Order: sequence, then structure tokens, then C-alpha cells
Amino acid sequence: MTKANETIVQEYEVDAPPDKLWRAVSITEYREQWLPSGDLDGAEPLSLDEGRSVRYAMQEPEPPFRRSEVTFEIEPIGAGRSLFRITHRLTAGIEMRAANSNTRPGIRMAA
Amino acid sequence: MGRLRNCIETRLSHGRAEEKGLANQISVRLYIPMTYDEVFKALADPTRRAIFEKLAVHGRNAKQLREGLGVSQPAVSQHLAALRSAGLVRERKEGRFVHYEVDPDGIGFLGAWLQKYRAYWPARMDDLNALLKDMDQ
Repeated sequence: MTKANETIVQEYEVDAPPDKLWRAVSITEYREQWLPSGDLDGAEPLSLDEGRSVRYAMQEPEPPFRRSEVTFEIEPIGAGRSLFRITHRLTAGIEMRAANSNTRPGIRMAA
Repeated sequence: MGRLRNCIETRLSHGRAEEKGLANQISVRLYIPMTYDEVFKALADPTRRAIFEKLAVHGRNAKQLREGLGVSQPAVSQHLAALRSAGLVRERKEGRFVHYEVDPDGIGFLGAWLQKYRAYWPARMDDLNALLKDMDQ
């Protein structure tokens, strides 16, 4: 019924080599400093391709508690710099109907 | 440093600004459909916002909605109409009652999400770039 295919893709050139950027993105203590766990739906990645990409579930901490998934991809572009691609996809429409129970209270919307 | 290279957005086909936008090093705020105005207007009113947040937790009928709000029945109806026309809320007949819930397919729901996270990521990137500088030291 729902398409929930709303997606944001943003690409950034980052002034850091891929391995350093990877550490900032994948090590929880570093990641916390730019992407708070409170904005995620669980601090553990959904999937991970070592050094290249990592995917997290996200959920808004306040109403309407929309759920989404974000994938960070890292590519070398030379000269000690990296391409950082953020692909953020809204999944709420599907999740809400699934009404799964392993989640924080208050997020199940329509019964 | 960390400047935005590309911003691509896919839109729902039933949305208005459909297709993809591709912007090279341009501001992220290019594709803001007119309906967002309506969304913000709809949520600017504190009572309406309270109603929306109640519905976001779970759907209710108008009578249940009124509980704890101290708002008259006609006022609630007006607020619900505004939320519906902004594409935030939908209604469903359930026996003798009309059940209201957040519309996850609504342009308001989706548009507000886009709006929020288009601004969210550049802010996260600022923090990420600051962290990368710290990691050098």
C-alpha cells in the first residue's frame, strides 16, 4: 500500500583519508560525537562492509517517530581525501504496519 | 572541506515535485513543495500540534482526542480538517465513530521528514568534520 520510497542522497568530499573516515563512522565512541545514538534505532549497525559502508536503523526520538535507514559509503578520491555518501530512506510506512514489538514504547502508530 | 557535492532526492510519484533533483554544490533547499507551508502552518498552532502528537502515538476518534485537551468539539473538528488538508492526518470510519491517525503516505508526513533531514545531515557533517580534526591531534 505505502511506497515509503522517500530518499535523501547527499555526497560530501571529506578532508580525511578513507581509513580515518571509516574509524570516525564505525567506532561507536567516535560516531557518538557526530551522530548521537539517540537518533538511531539501536547503536549496532544493520549491516557493514568493512572500510566501505555501514547501515543503521534510525528513528525519530519524538512524534511521529518516523523510522528510516541510513547508509554511509566511503570512497577514496585521492590526495588523502574521501567521498562520503549518505543515503537516507524513510521506512516508516512499512514499519508502522508491521507493528513489531521489539521497539521502544510509543512508536506503534495505527493499530 | 566536507562541502556538499551532490544532493539527489527521489520523490513519491503522487507528490508534486516528483522525479529526482541533482544539484552540484548547490544549497540543499531547492525542492520545497508549496505544501510544506501548509504543513508548518498546520503544526504552528499549539493545539493542533498537540493533536498531531497524540495521533502520532496512536490513532483515536474525536472524542478520545478531546480528553485532556480542553477544546470544544467544533474546534477539534476544525483542527483535524486542517491537519487532513496538510496531508498529515487521515480518517477512517470505524462503526459509529471516525478514527483519525497519522497518514504515513501523506505528503505532509513525507514532506516534513524530507525537510527535517535535508537540514539534519549537513549539521551532522559539521560535527563529523570537527571530529576528524580532533582525531589528528
